[in-house]
Amino acid sequence: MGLLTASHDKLLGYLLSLLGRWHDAQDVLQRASVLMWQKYGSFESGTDFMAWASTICFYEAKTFQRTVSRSPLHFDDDLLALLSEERAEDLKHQERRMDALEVCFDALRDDDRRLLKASCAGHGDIAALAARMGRAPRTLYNKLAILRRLLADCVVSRLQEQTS
Amino acid sequence: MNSDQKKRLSALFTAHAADSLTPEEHAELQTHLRNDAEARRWWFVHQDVEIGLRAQATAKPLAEPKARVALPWPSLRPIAAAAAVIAIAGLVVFGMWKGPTPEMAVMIETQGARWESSTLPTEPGSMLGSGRLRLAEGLARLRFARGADVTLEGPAELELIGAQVCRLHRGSLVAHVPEQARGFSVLTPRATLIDHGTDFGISTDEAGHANVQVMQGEVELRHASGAPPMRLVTREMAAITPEKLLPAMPLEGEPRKPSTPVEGSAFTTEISTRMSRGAAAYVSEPRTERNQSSTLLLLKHCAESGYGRKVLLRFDLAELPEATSISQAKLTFSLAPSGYGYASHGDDARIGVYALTDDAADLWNASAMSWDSQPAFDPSAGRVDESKALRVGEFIVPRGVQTGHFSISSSQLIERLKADPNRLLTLILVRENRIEQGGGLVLGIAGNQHPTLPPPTLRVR
Repeated sequence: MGLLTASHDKLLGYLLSLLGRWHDAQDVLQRASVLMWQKYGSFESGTDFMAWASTICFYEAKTFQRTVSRSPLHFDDDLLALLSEERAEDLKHQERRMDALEVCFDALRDDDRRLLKASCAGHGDIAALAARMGRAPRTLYNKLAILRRLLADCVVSRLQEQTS
Repeated sequence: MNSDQKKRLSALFTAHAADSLTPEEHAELQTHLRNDAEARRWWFVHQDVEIGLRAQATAKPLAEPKARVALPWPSLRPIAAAAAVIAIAGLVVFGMWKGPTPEMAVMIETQGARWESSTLPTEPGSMLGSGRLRLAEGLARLRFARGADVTLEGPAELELIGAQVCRLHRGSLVAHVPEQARGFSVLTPRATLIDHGTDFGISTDEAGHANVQVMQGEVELRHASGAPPMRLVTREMAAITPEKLLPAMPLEGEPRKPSTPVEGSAFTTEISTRMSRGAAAYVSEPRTERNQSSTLLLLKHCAESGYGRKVLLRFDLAELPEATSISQAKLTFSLAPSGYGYASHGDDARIGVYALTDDAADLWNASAMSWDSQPAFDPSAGRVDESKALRVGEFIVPRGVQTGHFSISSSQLIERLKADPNRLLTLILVRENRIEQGGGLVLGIAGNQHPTLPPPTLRVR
């Protein structure tokens, strides 16, 4: 099952596109991993591991939304199916995006890098982070959204440079 | 998609991630994603950014940005400042508690690598947590989470302990340690190498004979004997013995292998349980009827009664010329999966090896032997009757490992080889530590009838 470890980021990326929330995606990946261990016998080695694993993840994500998730706001089934299909194809870009991100991240100001790291570390609890920093939650949300957008823009443009 | 639309979407994504969307905003997000392939693409990019960010966040911990203590009520300032200090201190503790991710290193590439029973994934790209890599041959390059780049050269055994520390049990590695990974440490059986920003190579054997070469930079060596640490700089090398550190010398063009007294080629004679009056067998507790093997010697000691198995070996020492002058001895076993039980249950297996001193019992007959008629019988599957047998060594089979070669060497074994009066040596193997969980693994050691693996073998000189 080294395949599972090796595909960790891909499966996480897949689940994030369905669920949107980091901890939900982590939670579902954990559940799906257990299932994969149990069902490993049904995976034919030499066939597409990601296809097999993402199918398990897809159904586990739907079960999660139905039974566990605290949030009532989920994507509807049609959108989930569409995202699932496109994301599976899109994941071939993931590795290059993450490579590009390293460069983009390093190019940020120190303060911004710190802020992003802190927001990742604290279970994504922005309100608590804002309280600790003595800043309004709204301001912090906006700032983090801007930083993520800048990074996404930077990543996209770097990949375009590479391909042109 | 224009830049305003991108902005709006990014804001929605972030709010969605924080679970703070209003139902209206959620509907807006769904509509965009459903109708616009570019929006979906943008959504996917954000997720990969998120995964990359989290990796960055856990890779190099940084302090949180300083709290701004700009409150409109001056009288509250000291309290707020104190609260902020406490909050930041809490975060530091929190950060430590979160700790690094369990992934300590990543396997970057391998060349001609053949692996023995490693407890870690070995495909390139695998994230590695704590565990052991056993490389039979070839090269494997891994990068530790803090940046140390290590190439392991088979045959070698490396244990990953942390993002900055590993233990080289045997074999060689070459390391490149960038500035941010200063302090990277390699433990060997008798010495520790602490890096101060370098390119270095180190080889060791299991007994603690080791060699260190510094191609560039500086390393510090500390010996288990407690001797003062030694520093090696660019183009210096030093040898380590189990007893001490030897003085630094200029680096030679070709590193030497550790000067090991016990080498495969150093042995002059070998005998196996297949030769002459030799024998290899296992005995099972009376209730163990199923799960038997004709090619493997089975070994188990577990909490449930009725599943215990012990291994008995007999070597015909008449095959050894000049037994009284034996100075070295090594007993080697080859493991193979038995197919019975779960390897993940229980801890590392500690296998005790006992030499029978009750010479009258040496001529045991495997087919006629029962659980309680076996030599040096003790009712526990983890023990023998020590009034009739002497412990000559042990070996550890790490949890999850079911294949590979395991050896013991000890002075007690040599003494017994020299002194055994009737020139028949019976060895009894028991798993000393019990598996508490049900369904634990039955270890299999290749016996005399195994089609491909060698039987238990004794090498001496």
